[in-house]
Amino acid sequence: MPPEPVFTIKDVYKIFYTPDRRDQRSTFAVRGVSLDIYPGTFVTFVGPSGCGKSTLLNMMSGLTFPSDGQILFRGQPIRKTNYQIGYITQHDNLLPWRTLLGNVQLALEYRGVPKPEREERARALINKVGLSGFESYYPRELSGGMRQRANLIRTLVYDPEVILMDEPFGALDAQTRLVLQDELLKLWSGSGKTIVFVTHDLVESIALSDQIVVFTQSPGEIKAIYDVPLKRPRDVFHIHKSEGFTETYDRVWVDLQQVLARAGLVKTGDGAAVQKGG
Amino acid sequence: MQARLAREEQLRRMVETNTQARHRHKRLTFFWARTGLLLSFLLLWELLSGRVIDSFFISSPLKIGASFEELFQGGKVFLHFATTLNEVLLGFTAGVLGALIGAVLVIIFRDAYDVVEPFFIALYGIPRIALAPLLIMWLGLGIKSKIFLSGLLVFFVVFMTVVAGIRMVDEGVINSARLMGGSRSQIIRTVILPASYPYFVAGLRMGVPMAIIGAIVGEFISANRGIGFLIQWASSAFNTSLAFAAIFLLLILVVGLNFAVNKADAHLLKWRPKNSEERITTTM
Repeated sequence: MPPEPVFTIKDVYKIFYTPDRRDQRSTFAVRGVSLDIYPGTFVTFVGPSGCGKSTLLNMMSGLTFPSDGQILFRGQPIRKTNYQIGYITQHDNLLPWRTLLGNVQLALEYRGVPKPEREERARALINKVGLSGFESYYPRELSGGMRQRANLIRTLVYDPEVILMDEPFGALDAQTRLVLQDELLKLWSGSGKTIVFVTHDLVESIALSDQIVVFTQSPGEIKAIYDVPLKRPRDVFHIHKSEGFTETYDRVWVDLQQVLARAGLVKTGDGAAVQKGG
Repeated sequence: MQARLAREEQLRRMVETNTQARHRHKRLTFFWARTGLLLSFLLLWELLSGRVIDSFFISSPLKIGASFEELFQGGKVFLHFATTLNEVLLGFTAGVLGALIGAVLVIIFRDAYDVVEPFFIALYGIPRIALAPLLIMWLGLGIKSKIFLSGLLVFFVVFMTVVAGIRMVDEGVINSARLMGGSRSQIIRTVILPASYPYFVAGLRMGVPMAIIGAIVGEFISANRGIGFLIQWASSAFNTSLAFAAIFLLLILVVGLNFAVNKADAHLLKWRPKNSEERITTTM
């Protein structure tokens, strides 16, 4: 018997409508999406900007709700903010008036964890991602990579079993991004956590995940779902040399290319020579 | 290798000393420029007075100095100064506290505030000073009416600024705090209020002159002590020098209060990038 899904997404629609703006018709952000996400898996959502990936994450976190259809979390419909998950966004949302240590402790403070314990747990994670020595620094004094590490561990610190990540490394330079992908995989492996990771980088998607969900440009439907056969642990720095990488890339790219072409981002034809969107 | 390290160390020190020297030079130049400007203004005033313009109207720095001295000799000055200072401080504190309480209420009852906001804006539009005679009628000739007027002026400017700040708080940060498990009051305490600090401090800055205006205008209308009363009394006695001396007294009050607000600012906002610091690193 297969395990119970963490998320069951059943024929979900989301319509955005801003009545204040004149001549503005309502738009479909998500259209008829159905998907099961199983515990302990690393799933990526890939697709061009504006394909409803982030909207879907927002609904999974209970920040917004479907216009129609249902999202179940462990079998229960989500009716309010989902406190049992972690949500990491591209914008780090660190509080500028708190030091690194203060920021990492925030969630534990909210949960009423006593001070010595929350400091200890925060320090342990700060060490783990190589930020020790920067505990008393304010966010503005940290580099982009350091801030995104801080963003990651401020969520890990309260140990959520499910983590939603919305293009968390999107704003980083290529090298830092690889380093952080590697750190994320190390933190995740063996943890049994479920991760849903939105990206528009196909290579990142293959390097990290067990399953790739390809979305089409608005109307925000699922185009296809692929399993990633690459063995773990993975070497993100040489992921293109891994067995099965090329095959997976080519298979997904055929779909993604069609999606991007329909969105007007690439021309169909020689797929390999065309820049990916974003 | 050794030689290179030594050379680099020397280079570093050279850049550091040069930058420091440049900054010192700039600070000194500014100081003397300001002093010069002030002295020439006073000198011009002194020269024009009695020669070009009747000194009855504009007095002169030396006469004002003499009046100032007289004021101190009588000892009465302390009574006036203390009265106004008292009104200003109490008015300022009450106004700021009221604004903070109001801001928290706005966060909690957002929809209710949206309902009353147009009325607030309308109230904000009428010059609060127009209320002064009424306030004196309601609260009496004593210090209470001045404190209330001063507090009212401070309240509005601080409240409006802080509410603008609250509106500016990034929705993403609030959502992220909600997802991390923050309750409403925790989010207000750890996110919304600190995020509005810069606005609060800006409000405090604008509040200082407001507090003084409230107290002085109240004293103009009816009082038997205070700096405003002194200015009023001196003017009605055609004693221009004394009026200017009293205004100078007011200047001391303003400078002192601004100094206090600057101190509070530096303390509250130590996480904010300091301009001077960043400028030093970017100039080299």
